[in-house]
Amino acid sequence: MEIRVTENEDYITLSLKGRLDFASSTNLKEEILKRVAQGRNRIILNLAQIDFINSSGLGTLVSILKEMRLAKGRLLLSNLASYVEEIFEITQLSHIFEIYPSEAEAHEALTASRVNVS
Amino acid sequence: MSGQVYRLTIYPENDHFGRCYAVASEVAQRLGFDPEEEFRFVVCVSEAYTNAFVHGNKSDPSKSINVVFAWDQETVRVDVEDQGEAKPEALHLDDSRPDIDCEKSGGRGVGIMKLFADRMEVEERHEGGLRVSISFRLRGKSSQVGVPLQKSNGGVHGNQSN
Repeated sequence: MEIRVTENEDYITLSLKGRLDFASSTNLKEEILKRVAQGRNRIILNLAQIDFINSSGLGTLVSILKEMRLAKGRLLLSNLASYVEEIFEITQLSHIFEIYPSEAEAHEALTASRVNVS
Repeated sequence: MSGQVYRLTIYPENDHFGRCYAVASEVAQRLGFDPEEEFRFVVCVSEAYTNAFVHGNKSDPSKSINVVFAWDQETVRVDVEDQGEAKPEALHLDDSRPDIDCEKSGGRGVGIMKLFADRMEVEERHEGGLRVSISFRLRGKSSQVGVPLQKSNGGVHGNQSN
């Protein structure tokens, strides 16, 4: 799986490409937790180019979400293909993740929450 | 099942997961699955294969995994066989639903297979290890049931028979 990182002022976007499974999960988790440790705890994961995900990939996302909650951060998912969205639905994970149709809408949600907080 | 059979023996070498998925994807396309059906089929094969590698063979690089695709006009069945020592009970077949405790990090694979496949069975092999079998009805597809697979999956040892 390829991970492209875009640094923004108050959040980062990780665009994932390829398969999110047992083989690629460790790399993704390390990549994210490295940034969380640096204080970058507002993250959008753009899954537009994820062409395959299974329970190993889902489990890793849940594990990352838990770590980010501990760090008082936010993890938002965007651009899920319909078949990826289906697997989030049947596992009920759509209820615990913040999922947005587009990266722009995810960004808007981050911005809105910041306005509300201040 | 009378029809086509394609047998693979996969060793845990570079991108062995990807090689398994590629063959599953090719089988799905040969059988006329649409993209969403193909995704579900490959996900199920990946779940069985990952379980065999992680829980069955305990990620032992010296142990291989057999993956057998068998299909006829009615059904396609995939058998995934490991060389480990786990018992069927280890898979928690009776209570595995993909949405139980959705905040847990693992344990969704069996539930996903049960939901996506038309049938799933687990048995101990006489030779040792588990065999997970998942079946899908072909529901009147205009499949190329008799067309052999291309044997071009580098590093995967496979053969096909009728």
